[in-house]
Amino acid sequence: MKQGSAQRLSRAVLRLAPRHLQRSHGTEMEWMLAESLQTEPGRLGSLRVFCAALRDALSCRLAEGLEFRRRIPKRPLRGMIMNNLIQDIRYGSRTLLKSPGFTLVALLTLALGIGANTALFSLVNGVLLRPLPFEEPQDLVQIWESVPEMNFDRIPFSPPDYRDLVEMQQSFSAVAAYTSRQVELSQRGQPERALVTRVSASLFPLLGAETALGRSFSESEDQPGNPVAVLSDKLWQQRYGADPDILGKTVSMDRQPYTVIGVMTEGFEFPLAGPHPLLQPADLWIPLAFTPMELGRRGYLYNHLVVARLKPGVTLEQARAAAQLVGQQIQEQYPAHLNDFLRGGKLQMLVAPFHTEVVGPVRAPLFILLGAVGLVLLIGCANIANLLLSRANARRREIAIRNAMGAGRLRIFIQLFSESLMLALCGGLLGLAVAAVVIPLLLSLSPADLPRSSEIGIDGWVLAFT
Amino acid sequence: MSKKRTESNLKPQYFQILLALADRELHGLGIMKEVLRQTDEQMRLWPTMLYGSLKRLSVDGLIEERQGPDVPGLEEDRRRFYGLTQDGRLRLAAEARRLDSYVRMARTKQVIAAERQSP
Repeated sequence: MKQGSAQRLSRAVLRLAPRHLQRSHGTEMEWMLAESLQTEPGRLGSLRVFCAALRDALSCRLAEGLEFRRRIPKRPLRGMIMNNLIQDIRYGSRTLLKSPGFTLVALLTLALGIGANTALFSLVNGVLLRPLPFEEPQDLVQIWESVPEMNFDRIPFSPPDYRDLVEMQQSFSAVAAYTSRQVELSQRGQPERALVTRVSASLFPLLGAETALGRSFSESEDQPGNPVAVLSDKLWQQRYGADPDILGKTVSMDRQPYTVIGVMTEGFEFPLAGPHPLLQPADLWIPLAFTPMELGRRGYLYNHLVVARLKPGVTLEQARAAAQLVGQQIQEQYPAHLNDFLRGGKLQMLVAPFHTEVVGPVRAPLFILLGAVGLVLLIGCANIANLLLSRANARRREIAIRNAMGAGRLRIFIQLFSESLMLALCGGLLGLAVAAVVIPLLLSLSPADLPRSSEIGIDGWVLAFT
Repeated sequence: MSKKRTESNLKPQYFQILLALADRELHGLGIMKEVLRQTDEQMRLWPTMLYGSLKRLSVDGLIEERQGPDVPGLEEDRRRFYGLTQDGRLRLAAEARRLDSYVRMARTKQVIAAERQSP
């Protein structure tokens, strides 16, 4: 073997020996190995020497490792970890308190960033992510009429069209219509304006909504000449002082008496707020009860919104295809003057998931806002990372001392990490406090047509997000 | 712990190293060669084992480093010689006696042949 390569190989083998031996006796060991190589001539001899030296180095290293472990007093691992953790937390809080400027700036940055994000996320969560507060909301659809050739993209139903839809359709287990108007409530107390929604008797069962007191409308009450009403919990509480004997009493709407037959449960809202002045949660509901005149006039009163529930096993696509046929059949019954007006346009039915219809208009703006505050938090985090980096640079002496005193890399890492973790936790808590202040502020500033605004708040998902 | 070790049996390689240093001071390679010689080439100490043992025996106070003869042209590392301390000598003697008692017992029981009387 050439002398150069033998020397390299010797060094490589001896590098496996315990470090302290390499430091104190490295040259002598190398020299000794070279002597051994000389006494064992030939490649085979060299191989034997290297193998023996290799085994020697490895076994010594192993033996020393075992010896070292034996010498360390054994402490229970869990106790050690807990002790270290408590020590780190105490030390971390001391160091953080020692530089209040840094801590304050970092905490404020985090609190504002996290607070804004939490507030926005609770908005997104309440409005977009949580399922609608109805029974099996994924099966609910909204149906519109549409004549694309006339640029009538989505129009509500007229009474006869709705009646025909109910009779002809086969893909929905229930169909309901509703329309809202402002009324004057009088009789008891000060007169006030209220929003009343006329609903078909099928609406409440379709939504799976229940009354807290009394009952909702029966099919027979969904006929003209039945002046009955169901109150919202809010109206019942505010105007009627949560009167437990309200059932059977009359309320006056536009000077017409209506008998109260039920009060809805707390928190029930319908219609859900949307981009229309009348799309607001109603104060009370009365039966739709189409008059013969309303039902007899085709081409008028296109102001009845229609919601339906898909039959079990029917997909949205199947329902859409079936609804197109119904649209054609309805149009066949249109009088000639109405078809003339449509100038050959085809009446179509748009079937869309109810959730999309309710939150669709605010979806994009909300996500853009969330993205924007996310970026703000990112900038804040980058700033804090910078601060921490410059602090770590200033603490090099301290870390070097800890290292020299026997702290391993992992130990130092855990210590620094627990400091950052404490900052993050405190920042998160402060952020939550900021969010709790900001959310009501946001809601008071938010437009009235923000759907489901009453469902916005801090819940488990929001906490997890924070 | 180290005290306990000196009081218990010496490891064979420690005994051989102490024995090699019994009558003179030697450097590392010298010890290796002497051990080889005194064990009829049965025990060969490779570098890590040898220097690890030397270090351990030094820490235990059984041997000590000595300044070797100043040979011109010889590197400083090669001049690191080792010699027995008083403790080392006592410890070596104790170990030799212990081993000797075992050998005598083996002879009494005729496990090995009786020692030949020198003429």
